[in-house]
Amino acid sequence: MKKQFLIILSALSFAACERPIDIDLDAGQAQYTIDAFVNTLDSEQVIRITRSIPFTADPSTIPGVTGAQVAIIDSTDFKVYFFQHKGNGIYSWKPNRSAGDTFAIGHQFVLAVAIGTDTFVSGTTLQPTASIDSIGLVKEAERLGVKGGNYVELWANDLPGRGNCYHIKTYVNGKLKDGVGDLNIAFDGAFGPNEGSDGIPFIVPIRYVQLNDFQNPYKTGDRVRVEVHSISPETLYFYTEVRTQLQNQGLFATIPANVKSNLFNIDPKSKIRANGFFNMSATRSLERVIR
Amino acid sequence: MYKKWALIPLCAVFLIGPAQAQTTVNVSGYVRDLASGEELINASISHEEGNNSVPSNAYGFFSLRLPAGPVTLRVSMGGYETVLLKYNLTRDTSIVAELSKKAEDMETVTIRTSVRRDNVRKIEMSTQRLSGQAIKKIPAFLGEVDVVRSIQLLPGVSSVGEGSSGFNVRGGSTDQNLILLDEAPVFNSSHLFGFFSIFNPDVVKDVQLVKGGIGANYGGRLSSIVDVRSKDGNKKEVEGSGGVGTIFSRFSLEGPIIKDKASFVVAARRSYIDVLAKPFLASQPELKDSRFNFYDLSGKANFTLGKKDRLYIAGYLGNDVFGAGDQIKFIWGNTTLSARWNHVFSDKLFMNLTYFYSKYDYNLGFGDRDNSFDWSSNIFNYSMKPEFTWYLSPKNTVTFGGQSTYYVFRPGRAISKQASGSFNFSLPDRYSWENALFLSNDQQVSKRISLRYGLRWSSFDYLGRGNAYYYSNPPIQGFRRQLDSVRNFSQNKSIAFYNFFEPRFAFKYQTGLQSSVKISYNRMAQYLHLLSNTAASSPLDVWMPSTNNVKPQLADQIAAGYFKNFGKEDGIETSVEVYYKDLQNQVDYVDGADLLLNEYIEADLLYGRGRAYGVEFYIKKSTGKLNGWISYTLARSERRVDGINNNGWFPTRFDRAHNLYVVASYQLNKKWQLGGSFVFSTGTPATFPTNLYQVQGFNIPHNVFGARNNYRNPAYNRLDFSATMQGKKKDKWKSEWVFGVYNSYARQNPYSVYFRTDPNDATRFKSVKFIVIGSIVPAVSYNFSF
Repeated sequence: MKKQFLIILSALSFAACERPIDIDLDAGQAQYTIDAFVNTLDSEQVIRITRSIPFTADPSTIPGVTGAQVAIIDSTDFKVYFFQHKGNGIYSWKPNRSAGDTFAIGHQFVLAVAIGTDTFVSGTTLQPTASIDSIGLVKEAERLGVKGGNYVELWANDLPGRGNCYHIKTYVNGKLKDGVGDLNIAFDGAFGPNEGSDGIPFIVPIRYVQLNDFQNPYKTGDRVRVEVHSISPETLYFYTEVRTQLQNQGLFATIPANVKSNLFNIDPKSKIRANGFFNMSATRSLERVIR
Repeated sequence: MYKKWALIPLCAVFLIGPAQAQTTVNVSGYVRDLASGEELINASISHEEGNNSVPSNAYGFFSLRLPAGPVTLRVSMGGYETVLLKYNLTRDTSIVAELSKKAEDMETVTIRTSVRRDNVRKIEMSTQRLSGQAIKKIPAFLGEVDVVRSIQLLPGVSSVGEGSSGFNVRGGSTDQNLILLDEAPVFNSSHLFGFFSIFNPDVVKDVQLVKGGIGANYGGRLSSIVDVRSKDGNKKEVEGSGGVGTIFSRFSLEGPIIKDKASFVVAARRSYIDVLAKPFLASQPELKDSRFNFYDLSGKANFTLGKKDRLYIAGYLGNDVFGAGDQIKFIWGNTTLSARWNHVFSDKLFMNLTYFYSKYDYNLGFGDRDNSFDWSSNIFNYSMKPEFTWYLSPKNTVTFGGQSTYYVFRPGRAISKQASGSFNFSLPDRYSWENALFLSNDQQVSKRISLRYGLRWSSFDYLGRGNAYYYSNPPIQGFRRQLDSVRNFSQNKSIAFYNFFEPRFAFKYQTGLQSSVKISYNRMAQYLHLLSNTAASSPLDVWMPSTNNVKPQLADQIAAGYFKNFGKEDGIETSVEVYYKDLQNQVDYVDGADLLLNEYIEADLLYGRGRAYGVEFYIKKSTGKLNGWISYTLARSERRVDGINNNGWFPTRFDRAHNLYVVASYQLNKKWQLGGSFVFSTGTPATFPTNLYQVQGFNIPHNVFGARNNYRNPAYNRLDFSATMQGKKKDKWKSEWVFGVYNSYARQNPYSVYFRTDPNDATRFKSVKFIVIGSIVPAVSYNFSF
């Protein structure tokens, strides 16, 4: 929130004075990236393993890593789930509910990824998520900065107890709102630990502002699906850092910093590192068709 | 409660010259402007027959020991006619020397700011003095002359760029400059993100920048002292001056309250159009109701209470107001109030006692009635500083005194209101008490050798009421610390105490009539820290006291210089100075540090060592039609912090290797004066990612080497011009038009370089430079005085 405010200020003051510039930087050696965000939905779960590319290269050329061994271990009841390579670095697994494949709330999970002689591990606890009461419809009249029309509002309460973190994803007609500005994360019902927001309905910026594009209201027939994923506090911090790094510009830009990973090479002497993050989410979702 | 030993007075042994056999008497008094009665700072009073001379102090006072009998005193000052005063001295005498301004004969209107050979003869080094007049000769941004922007053209001084709130002296950070306005410190010297400073040039009498060899009477900052003295006011008649410019208007009025005994000055400035912002806001209709202005008011009065006492009262209030409609507001500003009492105990002992109150605050908020966020932060300080000058003997001038300052830090009061309730996430206030005692002697050892040696003892007590936080060391250097415990302290209970002895030393050897060699050393302790991890300091930066976690900053600086003048009139002054500065406990930040409204802010801080070194060349021509200076500084400013840059040295954000400044003014004829200035500086460093990876659809930048400041921004250069046309004089009414062109070849100097998502392809980054002023900025202003 504070950060956003600074960005507004920067934009306000001298937004027009940006010009492209060619920069010449040495790219470092490619490193592994492990993108492991797994949830409790019935859909196919995917872990993506890739290599980093030079900063100015085209991201569509990011190469996948083949030949890795990928598994999630439920270390509470010692179950192992192997992910199979589907090509281009995508490793997947589909839960078989009839076989009892269930990620249980409160269990601890370990991700293990072996690539060649290096093995990367990470651990997390599956946290419970908030129940969705409803998706409300708000009709806004035309006003400063807001185009008149239909907007949606998520009604859900933060779970009791301090320190529950959430990632709220909005899909419009099946497409995720995936811009960095759409990133909608919450600590309890608000933004951070100091705000005394335990157990409350998500505050307005989280339940309303982030779900809508106020220049582009929803049209009749649009399907809006909202997913509430529980995330670990470390993952919340990860997303906060990602947002900081991707929105870091203008007069008040801070010094760029590497986003921290929660993956470790089990051989501390190995120079091979992995970026990325491992998170397990309990997920609830609800869809509303705009009428 | 308070450590007793801390109050033990300082002891020092002084080398005092042999007693004089000849009968001597004391001549003391004031130097004043004949027309206005204004006291003149740094005028030179010299004994024609002998070889001794003294400068007038900041209050125009001097004292000189002379042999009895007939003597001639030469009293001189830049821009004034020199006077010779003849006396037949039989006993101690007090005098008032009145100097008249040089006629505005075009041959002699110069930007010379000091009297002959001052730069060579005085023991001060690394010191630059600018008078109000001199500042007015430099081409100015939007036609408005400015104190801080003028300082930035002096050797050893640089800034991160346009839009930076502060400036850097000899590789020090912006918070290491002690900026004094009539002896009260100012915590943010900038208006409008650094485009202008808070000092109204119409009422500035004298500005002194001290970069090295800092005297024992100053302390509390590592890198420089900027001592701004405002006018006392005309004691003889009412006078006014002002101007109407592109960006703001200003007006000042001064005059006697009681003729020759008491006078006042009041001054005001207000920017009235939001010219800088308007073009950029036009494309964003929701922001068209923006407010973007600043104002400042200052007032001063002084009273002569008999022959021995003077009283000065001065106040300043300034704010920047920035907002859009009712939805966003952002206000910041300084308030200072000072009262000073000069007392002449005897013709050898002069005292100035200053009390001041100084406050810096900012307030920002946004939202509407239902959803709002309001945040304010302040720093208050209350201080007392007695300072004595004891003209002990013809060869020794002793300065001694002390200072005591009580601080209240209010790092943030923040309230967020929503339909579901309001949240208060204010941080508790922090308190501290800083004390200092100092003693220093200026000694003329021989005709060629002068010494200044002094000692300052300073202490800092971080006080309750409040919580002290104790953190454990992180497993890996460079990561956030974990909170171990919290302990509550009651009011005025000491949480952490620090004290340091700060030796100061300066040496001058006169190698010839027009040349000298000088060496100086100073140790400085700084107990306040400006926390900022943005590219340049901003008005939102948080001032933080030293605490049980944050140790005081320390600097040791040695400097040496050769000073040489040329020409019969000493019309050309030159100097070469080298310096090396070692800095300890320099604050840096963990990656992703949260500095705003963070109760556990100390967990995010790292501490490192700094070093800065360089060589400064300076040539100044102060006679003839063409005046000006060329300054070139070759410098390096580096830092090493465990946990950053793989624990290796890295250049600071304000490191610039080459800095070339050329300032010139040319008197074309009686009507026109032309001015020009050119600035070239190496680009500032920046940290840039080397690689990119993808997680959850986000393209995340990554620096594989973990390097800090691995990229160099393009060099900064700029050429400005100005032309001043004198208007017709009518009785006392004088006027001038100032035409200016800033950035004449429209150089798009980058303020910073960073990457952003390409608007045409959200998956791609593009690197952009952020330019604050990227075009020619013409300006015209009209100035008047009566």
